[in-house]
Amino acid sequence: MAVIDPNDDCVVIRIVYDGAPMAGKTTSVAALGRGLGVGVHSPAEYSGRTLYFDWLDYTGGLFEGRRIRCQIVSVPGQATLAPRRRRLLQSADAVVFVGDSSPAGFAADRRYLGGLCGVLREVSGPPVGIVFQANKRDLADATPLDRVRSMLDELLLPTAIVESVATEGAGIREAFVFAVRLALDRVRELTRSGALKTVRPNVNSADDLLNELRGAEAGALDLAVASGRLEHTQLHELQGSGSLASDALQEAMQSNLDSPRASAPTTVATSTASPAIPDEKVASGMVWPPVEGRTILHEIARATINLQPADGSWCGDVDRRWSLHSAADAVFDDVEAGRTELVQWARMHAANSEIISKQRCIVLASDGRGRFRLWQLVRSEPSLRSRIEAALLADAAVIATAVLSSARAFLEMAERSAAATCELPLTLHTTGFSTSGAMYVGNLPASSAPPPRRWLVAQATDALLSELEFARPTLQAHRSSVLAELAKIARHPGFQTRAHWHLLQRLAAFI
Amino acid sequence: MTNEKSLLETIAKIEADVTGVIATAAVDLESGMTLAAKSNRSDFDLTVASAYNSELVKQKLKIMRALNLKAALEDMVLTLTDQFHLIKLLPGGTSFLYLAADRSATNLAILRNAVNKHCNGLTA
Repeated sequence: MAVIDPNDDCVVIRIVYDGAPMAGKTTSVAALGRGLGVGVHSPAEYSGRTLYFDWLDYTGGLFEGRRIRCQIVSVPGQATLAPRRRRLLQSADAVVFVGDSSPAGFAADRRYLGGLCGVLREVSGPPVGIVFQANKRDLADATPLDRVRSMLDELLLPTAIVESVATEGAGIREAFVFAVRLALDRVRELTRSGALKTVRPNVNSADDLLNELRGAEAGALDLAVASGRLEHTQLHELQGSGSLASDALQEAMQSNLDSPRASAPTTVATSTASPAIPDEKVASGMVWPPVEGRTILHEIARATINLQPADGSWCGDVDRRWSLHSAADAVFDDVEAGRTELVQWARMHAANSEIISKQRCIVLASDGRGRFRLWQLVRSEPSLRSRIEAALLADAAVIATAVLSSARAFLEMAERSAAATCELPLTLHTTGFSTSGAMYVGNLPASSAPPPRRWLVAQATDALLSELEFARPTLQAHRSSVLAELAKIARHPGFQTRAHWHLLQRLAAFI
Repeated sequence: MTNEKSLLETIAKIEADVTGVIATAAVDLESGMTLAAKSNRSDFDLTVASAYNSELVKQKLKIMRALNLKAALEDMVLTLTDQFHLIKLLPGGTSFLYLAADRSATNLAILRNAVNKHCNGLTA
């Protein structure tokens, strides 16, 4: 819904607070309102439950010379009001999903996140970024963050996690400012594609939004409409018990206890001259893809990074979840030169998207020494090599299946890589599986890489056998049983083509 | 990103060392959004000041790039007839502290010393 309002030349964005019932959406928006010194409008409540939305209008910040007007809206969490929630989510430029860290609430988080994904998939235009605001972190039995991260991974949601205790106002501003950044990434993409309209927003106030919802529902959700008078929370009421700022100040003075927050980024570098690690605060236009990329950066900025130099390039491992790489020649004296390369590389990523793994981003960031460095972040996906290594510890049937399926995937990758825009290294380390077949899981080469190589089957098989040398001693130790298992697989109806037989013969000879 | 509480704590420490502070904010350089703010004067719109000062810092950084200067920007001091405005880049360079103080109640040396002392421990 982002637009430029011609009346006051503001960029209008909408941040929607979503989450399961009782997760703390309204509390978060109220705490944000106190912190920003802005009153919250709540059209109707029933026993403390939001029936329509909470509304907060805040103008702050600047985007390319224009003020940023944020429409901050929370959805009703109750299942009976799902159509209302859906409508509000469809209008979001970024979503703050307030997660309930209590064990009971965690299960509901998953259901609601699934619903959120479904809604956002239908939204046209650039992706809508999500910040997972893990709330209620003060609970003794709060769900561990790695479980939260696993859940988000299972849902394939690139999401930044910010811990919070909404009742104390802790973590609220961080989640909000990050959501604004994601929304601005979306605005930049809309601008680039010419889709950002200069038009007066349809909704300019809580009343407008209430009327829009009522009009769209046409009385379908009458239960909530019954008490639809707008109640305006006055600023002086909010400040009656002390502002968020003064509360936080007093708290800070009285206690050394820190509020829950993500741990500071830790870089374990083997050289004192290691470059600065990029994080989510890089400027808009310096990360691709813009929204998902920033959420990936948010995650790595809070992780332990083992950065290693290698012939002028730098590579690192981020909690075994991401690999980080910057080539020796990916350093630029000025930001424009770096950005030109970033754009070329982004095009290359987009052009190869059918072949390469999905979760990756590229970023141009200051190296901390007055220059700019281009980084590539790739999600650590299981490679064929890791699959075979794991199988070698098991019995002959497992070994035979893993070797043969990996070999087929390797040859498939050789064939598919001809469609790439450049030559992709073909190894067991750089090839993995996806639902659509073999995929490239390694780092993409520089934009100046040579054109794609067309592999003959014999050449690709030679390369495969060379890559399999590491497994040869184990394969030979189990030779007879592995060959017997391969013979069994060969009798399978799906294994009948000439190419398959040729591969099998080469493998048998290799073992 | 340093949390709001830590930033407010830092702002409180600076205010304890400097007399005549009108308003202080920690500002996200990219968006101009305040990460934490405290104003002692109701007529001083800290939100607007923070937003436009982010543009000021960006322009200064652009000038430095155009001049091919390799040095880092540490702070910016603006002297008005009745106020000092100090902008201190926080470690990491992606956020800054913006402080306005009454010129008749303090001096630049005290101001910069207090800000440097308390901001160096912050992460951006």
